[in-house]
Amino acid sequence: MIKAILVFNNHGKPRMMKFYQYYAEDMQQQIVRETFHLVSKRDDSVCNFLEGGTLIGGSDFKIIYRHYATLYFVFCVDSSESELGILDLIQVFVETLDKCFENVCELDLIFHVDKVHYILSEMVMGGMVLETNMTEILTRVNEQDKIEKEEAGITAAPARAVSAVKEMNLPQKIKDIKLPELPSIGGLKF
Amino acid sequence: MSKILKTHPKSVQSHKDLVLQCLDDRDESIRLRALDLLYGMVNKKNLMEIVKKLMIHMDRAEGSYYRDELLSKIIHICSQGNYQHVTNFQWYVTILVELTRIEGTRHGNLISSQMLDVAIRVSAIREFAVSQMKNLLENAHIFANNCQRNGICEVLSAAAWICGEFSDYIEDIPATIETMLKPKVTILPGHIQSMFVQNILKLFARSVDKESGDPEEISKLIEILLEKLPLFIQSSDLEVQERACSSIQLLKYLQKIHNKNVDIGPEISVLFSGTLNPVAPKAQKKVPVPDGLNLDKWINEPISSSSEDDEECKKPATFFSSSIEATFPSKKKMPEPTEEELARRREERLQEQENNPYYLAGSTKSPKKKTSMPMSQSTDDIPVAAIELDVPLQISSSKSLFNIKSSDKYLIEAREEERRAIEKKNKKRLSKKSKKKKNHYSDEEIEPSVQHSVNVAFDMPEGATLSDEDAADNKAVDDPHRMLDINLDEPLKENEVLPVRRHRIVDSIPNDSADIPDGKKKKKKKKSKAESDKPAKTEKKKKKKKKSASTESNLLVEEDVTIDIQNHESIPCEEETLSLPTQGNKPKDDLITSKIDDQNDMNFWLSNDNEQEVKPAEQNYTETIEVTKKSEKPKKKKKDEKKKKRRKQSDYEIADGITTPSMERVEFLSPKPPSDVLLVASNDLIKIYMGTKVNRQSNSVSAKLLLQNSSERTTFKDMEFTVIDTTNIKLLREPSNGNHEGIKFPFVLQPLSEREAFVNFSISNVVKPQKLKGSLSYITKSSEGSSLEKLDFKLKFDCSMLLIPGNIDSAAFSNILASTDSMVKHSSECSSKKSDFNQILKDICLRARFSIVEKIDATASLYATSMEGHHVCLLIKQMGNSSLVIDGKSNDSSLISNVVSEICSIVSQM
Repeated sequence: MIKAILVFNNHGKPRMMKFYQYYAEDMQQQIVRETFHLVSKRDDSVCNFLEGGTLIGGSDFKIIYRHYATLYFVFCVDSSESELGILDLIQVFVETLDKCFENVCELDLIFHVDKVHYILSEMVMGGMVLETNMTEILTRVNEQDKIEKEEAGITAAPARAVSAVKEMNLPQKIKDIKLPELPSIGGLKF
Repeated sequence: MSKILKTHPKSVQSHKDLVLQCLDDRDESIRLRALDLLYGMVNKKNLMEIVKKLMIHMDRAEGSYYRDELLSKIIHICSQGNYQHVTNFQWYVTILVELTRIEGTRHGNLISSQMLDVAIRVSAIREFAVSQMKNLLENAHIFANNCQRNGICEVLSAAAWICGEFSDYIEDIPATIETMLKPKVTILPGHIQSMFVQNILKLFARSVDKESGDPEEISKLIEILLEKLPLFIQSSDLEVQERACSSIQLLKYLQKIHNKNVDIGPEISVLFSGTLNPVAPKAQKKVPVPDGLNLDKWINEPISSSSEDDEECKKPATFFSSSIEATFPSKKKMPEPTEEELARRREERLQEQENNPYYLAGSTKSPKKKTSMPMSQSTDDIPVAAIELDVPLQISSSKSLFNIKSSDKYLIEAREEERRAIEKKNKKRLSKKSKKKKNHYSDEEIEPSVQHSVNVAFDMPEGATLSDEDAADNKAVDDPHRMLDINLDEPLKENEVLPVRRHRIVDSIPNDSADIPDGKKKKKKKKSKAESDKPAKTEKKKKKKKKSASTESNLLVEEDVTIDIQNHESIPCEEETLSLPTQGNKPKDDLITSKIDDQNDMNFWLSNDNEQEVKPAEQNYTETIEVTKKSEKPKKKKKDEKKKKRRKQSDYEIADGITTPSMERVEFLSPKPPSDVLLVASNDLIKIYMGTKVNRQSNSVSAKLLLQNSSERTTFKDMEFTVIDTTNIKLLREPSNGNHEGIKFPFVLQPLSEREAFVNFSISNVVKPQKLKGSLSYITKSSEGSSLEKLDFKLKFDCSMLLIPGNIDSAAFSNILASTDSMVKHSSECSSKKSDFNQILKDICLRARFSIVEKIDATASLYATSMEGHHVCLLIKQMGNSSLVIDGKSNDSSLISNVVSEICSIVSQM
């Protein structure tokens, strides 16, 4: 089971946090700090798996992390998860983010926090891994986007609406109205 | 592999070389794992090499946690299997001594117990050990500094004991006694001092024995002792005091006897004769209860616990005692539940659990989590013929020595401990009475080196049998309560220590605060440079001052940006402005303003450019002055902007002939309009520019109108500015005027000059762009004559023009974005000719009134609020092909879409 997923930058500033086990607010901050402390010391060529600190559960829990440019993606898992599998999961997550937001960077995680959480929920729910196939996840996320846009309706894009109205060529439309065939009166014979 | 090690050590051994290689790896995790595996790897031949390698590692080790690990590993490896792998005990003793030199370790106990163990069991090495210990004692002062619990100073107690017990091997006993009596000793912890005192006595006994022919020496010795021992009486530790007192009394008595020329030698030596052997852990329990003694019967009334103490006091603090079992029947206050009782309860509980549908059965994982912790020595590692020590090998495994389950555990334990200690030290054990089982274990020799036998004997009460089989703590393997065996006495390991929060000190870039004219705003909070959220705003400060003290256009608008957090360093300018009254139409003091201007100038030019700051593009222009205002400071005096325009000006244009009071300020026509204003209308003679700024105090928008007279000969006067109000936007006029009258500008516009004027509007709908129709009527005066003319214009108020840049930090920004109250999204893409992202950002901030929250490489997040309190958040990303992606979020959908499209058009125009 995955206990927590943390994303923080090179300075220890958390960009995204998701805990699958209840921790109080200050505990969460403490966990982030501790994890940052553990992970930042490590060179890039050393092992990506660490024993967890005591806050998050002690020696049973492992910390699996990956370092991309300015961000650390850290998954805290217990012994039932395979380390290499989780490593791959991190990769899938990051690639999905990259596909959804072009050139994803730290600020994207802050700005599109809802979308990031949607993507994460597609992959991990309640600490259990649901989906690891990137195309599948992307399909679902795109579907969700479409639904959002539809629901937003015309108010969401007044510019679009305005331009749609402008382009509506009313005179032409009137000319194009086809009247139904009416029986001609002239044909009546007395 | 570590799990395989337990069951199949042979298979792991074949990878020995690889594991040894791993020891040298850079990665600490790999090294730790290799250490775990080392248990199975050692044999006699490579033990020394491995330990040597580990010692080298220890020197290089970063972090004391790792060092401690190494240390304990070394010791565990060596002591495995009754030291089966150690061929050369001299070497081992030396290793132990070297280990004491490692600073900062918390395993002093471990080392000291090892020393004791080796010294006791390996009789052949005693001499060498004693000499080493003497050295240690002489260097005691090094250790005295490190007086924490479990620190290195523990080894001193071991050293003292060894010296005392095996004092045969010491040649110069008085010298050793001297070293133990040094005053520095009193710094040591109490238990060490008590050990010292006791062993001083032992040494004395030995020396008396040795020099029994020399009464002079003896009396000298006695005197020295009597002189120095009183030092210990004053110790705060009770044990030390007691021992010191008893020793002193004894010595005094002996002195008396000695002065009567009686040979005290033999008597004293009887004190400490006999060897002490390690005691089996269950020995105490196995003490057979003497007949006629009913342990369960209460001696006294249940209330008085003094009965137990009496028992204790009765037991004499004698040096002679015939047998172990004599005086210490264990007394239990509370009757323990008997075996049947326990079994019955267990049955009940299991029954209940079965019936309970919600009960989740416990896991059958290995209950002891000790296997992964190298520190604790699980009993699995030790073969069945186990070493049972009374000085525990682990730091605190008092639990494994005492197997008491009652709630009086601690009380009884403590008493047992004390009794045991006294037993060991004070009592003389007559060897005849106890049966010893001696197992001689001899090493198979590969080299004909010194062979030492390790004595694994231990003492048991008469008739008791070795019962190591219940070393498994008397609990069934599947007893769920086994998991409660948490050892709380262990000190915290490095990875269990919680990190202490320290204040992060950051060098804040010296805020070039005095860049008031440049409108750089900085945050009050310190942030790290890399993410310096120093949004620079170009706040346009409209300084309003009507030239003459005309009341009709006395719409003095106090500009204030309350949410901006400023630094306080722009004091010089501030103070000067503060000295001027905040209201009123006092005629300006040129001197002051020019002084301020110069200062602003200087500071501006001296400032270093922070990457996140948006330099107002109009610095080069004379007309506009940006001054940031401190929210706390009182309202600044409005300065006439024209005065500020002066600062960069060198020449005045003299008007031809006509001098009016308002004439003195004539400006050059700026070559191109400042970038904060937009062209509104123009004809041959005059151009009108407008720039807006939101005034949050009065919730209105003030517009700065720049009127440029581009003609060369025509003068404009009597200018009047009228607009047609709409429902959404109204011109704020003097109350006395009617609702449709215009605002008259009292100044005269000379040829080739420009003037500024300020008008205010109130806007009720900010989410849509507004348009206003208006006209400017004026009388032109030229050489040909004068005429009344009108210039019509349309004022367009974009949404983005009406935004107020917000000064928030990224945490608040994230909170706003994460809040669930409806944030609408809108995004678009546009391309810009410029490729400098910073420049683009600055322009956007300037034109669309945003502030940068955070900027990283080619992405930036911006924030602003609308007059009605909507949040507007933007994310701008520069893509590779010089296109810009703009994402926006706001509370209001039309607002955000308008803002985003406006920004797009701004960007494409750039």
